[in-house]
Amino acid sequence: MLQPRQFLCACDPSLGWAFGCSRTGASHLRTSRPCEDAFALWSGASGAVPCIAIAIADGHGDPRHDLSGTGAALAVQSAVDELTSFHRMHLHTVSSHILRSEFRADFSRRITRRWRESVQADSRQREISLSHAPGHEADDYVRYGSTLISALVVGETILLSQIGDGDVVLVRPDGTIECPIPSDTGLIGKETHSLSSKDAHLLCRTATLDRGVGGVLIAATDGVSDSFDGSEGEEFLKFVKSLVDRVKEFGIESVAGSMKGWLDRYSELASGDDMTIVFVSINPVEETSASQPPETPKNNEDPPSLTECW
Amino acid sequence: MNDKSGGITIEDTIPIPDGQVAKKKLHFFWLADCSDSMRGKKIATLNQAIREAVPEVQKAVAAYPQVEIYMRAIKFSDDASWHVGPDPVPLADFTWPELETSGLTATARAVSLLTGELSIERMPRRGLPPVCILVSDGFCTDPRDEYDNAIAELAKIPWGVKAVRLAIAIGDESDYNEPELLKFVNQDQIGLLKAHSPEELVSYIKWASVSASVASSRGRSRSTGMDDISNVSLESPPPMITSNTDLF
Repeated sequence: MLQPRQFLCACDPSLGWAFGCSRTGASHLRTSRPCEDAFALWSGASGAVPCIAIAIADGHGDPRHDLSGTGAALAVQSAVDELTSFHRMHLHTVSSHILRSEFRADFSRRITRRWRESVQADSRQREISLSHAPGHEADDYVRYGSTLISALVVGETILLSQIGDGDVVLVRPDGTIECPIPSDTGLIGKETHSLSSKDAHLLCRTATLDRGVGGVLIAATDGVSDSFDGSEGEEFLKFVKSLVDRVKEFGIESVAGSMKGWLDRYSELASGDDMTIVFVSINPVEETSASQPPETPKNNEDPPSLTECW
Repeated sequence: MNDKSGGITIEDTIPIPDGQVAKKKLHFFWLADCSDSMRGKKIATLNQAIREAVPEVQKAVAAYPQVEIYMRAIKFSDDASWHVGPDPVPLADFTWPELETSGLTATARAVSLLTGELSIERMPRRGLPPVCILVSDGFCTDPRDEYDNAIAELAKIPWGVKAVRLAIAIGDESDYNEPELLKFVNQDQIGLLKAHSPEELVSYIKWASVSASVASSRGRSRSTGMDDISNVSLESPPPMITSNTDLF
């Protein structure tokens, strides 16, 4: 199985840092099923413009999605690649307004296409035929079905996209909570939109936010929020706020150390599902840099330089 | 404690974050016919079979400790009303009061009562599929339109569609309306469970309640747009060998 590059922590001194943790669900452990979640964190720079990219994915557990763990791994890898590629394409975009509208207009199509290309490549390696019957070609991707949440912090902007279930929440320094991509009220039970859905790009939702005063962006697979009481997610939001407070009080290293135990406990006591959470601490925009356009890079084709730390 | 994978020291002293943790709720509904035609052996068997099924469900879902089953029951004869409910009862506290027979077969009203409970306002959107088992031995005596409308209303609401809906018919096939009961069922591969004898009724009540609860408890995510509309897939019911001497 493809092993995606994963980092526990990524940071950029000007933007902030990101931490992620993924745990195999209690019900998966009981039935010897692997973790079907994945996450990826990247921080780097194209030319002189730094960015932080994050992605989490939750492979569907139904037996018809038997390669969903691989699908999730391919999803986070595709998302980070596509976000950094989008970043490189728009290095010269001075106006954040244009950056945002480009993202909203095009990113859904780009990410779903890149994921499908990755799935095709994987299926070739496995010698799986991707077309069984006329009119059912889309079904072939179903085996790899996965959700995806991705985010890019760049300049004054936070760009977000989501397909399927899971949660993404921004907690501002004053404690205000923003849910930029609300839950999809059309979904019920364990059904979710998927990268493998027909017209997946139309099911993908995007949002753009001002980085402004910064804050903490938390993205989590549904195993986390499903562990909490309250049909409207009120207890999950208490958890989110409390988690931010724990980091402020005890520091990220301590919280990172405790996170595995906490997620295992939630899975054991409640949802039973795989659990993945990514926590991005976003610095406020500095007045001086906020008003300046990004410097022209020396070479737009520079690959992003990666920062990893443990 | 040392984390072997990342070299990070775990601080056990950090209090776990706030937020009330909760198990997943699985809502289970019996819809039991207690019309006059059910009197005698049929109602006695039904009463006993449900009492015996409850601990078997409890045992079967022990493999899913993240799930908490809440059970309720609707009875119907001249009208439909709660036999156990309307408040959901945790399975561990559930007891089946003796069901007495009288009157007609208001199946439509029972379905309508169920529909009200499956509304999105009362049932969490991201919960497990509810389990609904209808047991009847006769024709619905409500007007035909009323029954069809009740089924249509049930099929309109999201949890009506996604619930596991099974029906057990009791007695000889000429005694009940098979097409009518089949309209309640949304598990095409299972169809109508036909209990010709007390032995079969006991067996079907146990099988339906246990297998539907287990299937719903698995709660594995899946993509929208799949061909079948149900949230779960059930295994086939057990084969029945009917004793000719002990029919209803």
